[in-house]
Amino acid sequence: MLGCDEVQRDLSDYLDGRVGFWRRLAIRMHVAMCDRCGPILRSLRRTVDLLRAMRDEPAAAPGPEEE
Amino acid sequence: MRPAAHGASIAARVAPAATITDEVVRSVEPVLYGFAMRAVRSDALARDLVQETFVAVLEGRSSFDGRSTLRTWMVGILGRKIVDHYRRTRREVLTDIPPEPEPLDAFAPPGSGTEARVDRKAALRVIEQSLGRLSELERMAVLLCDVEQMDRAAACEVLGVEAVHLRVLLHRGRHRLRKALEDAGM
Repeated sequence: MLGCDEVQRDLSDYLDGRVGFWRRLAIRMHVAMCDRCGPILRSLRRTVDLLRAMRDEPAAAPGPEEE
Repeated sequence: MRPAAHGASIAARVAPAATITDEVVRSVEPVLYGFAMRAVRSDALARDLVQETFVAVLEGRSSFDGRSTLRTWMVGILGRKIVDHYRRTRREVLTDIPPEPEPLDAFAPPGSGTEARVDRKAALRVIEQSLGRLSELERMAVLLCDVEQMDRAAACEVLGVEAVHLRVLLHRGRHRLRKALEDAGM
């Protein structure tokens, strides 16, 4: 059984389909049962979805402290 | 003058080299400007980099082979210019260890009955702001691979990093943005 640290380290690759079959299965099982990693995977997926949606959004002006 | 319209639909066309006219190149300007703004966080610098990209594109349009979209090809050129800019100005390797993130500005929490679209808009705003708190390489990795959805090999080439390094950059950048959303209660 994978630990939370191992799973969280791989979640980004997992979302991209860049982990092997057995690793993917182990992550999926862990995430289904883990109260910490499940929400992290969901919020990471949402983050990536939002980033992809930005492709067709005009860039916002940076904050005043950045210019 | 700020680009008036977003040219994503035009920019997404696959155009063989012979059809890359000045007009077509100009149609990608809003896309390039948006990418540059997100990457360098400065209007003036973003405009300079986009202009440099136009010069490079117009001089080198014959090298466009049509395997990627015109947008992706031009974003790749712009990405290399941004990385070059970082290297020139820092005189050192790109920052890969970001400073401790500062607290995000307060965002109005979604009220009862708030449309999901409004939540999404607020979440996008948090991400836009938080991009500025990533390291340069993390930000570029996220912009190229997630926002522009560029092929990993092409992104590695733009950034001058190995595939393993790119994966680490994406992992860190995505998690920092995820944490920013979480901190903002989203």
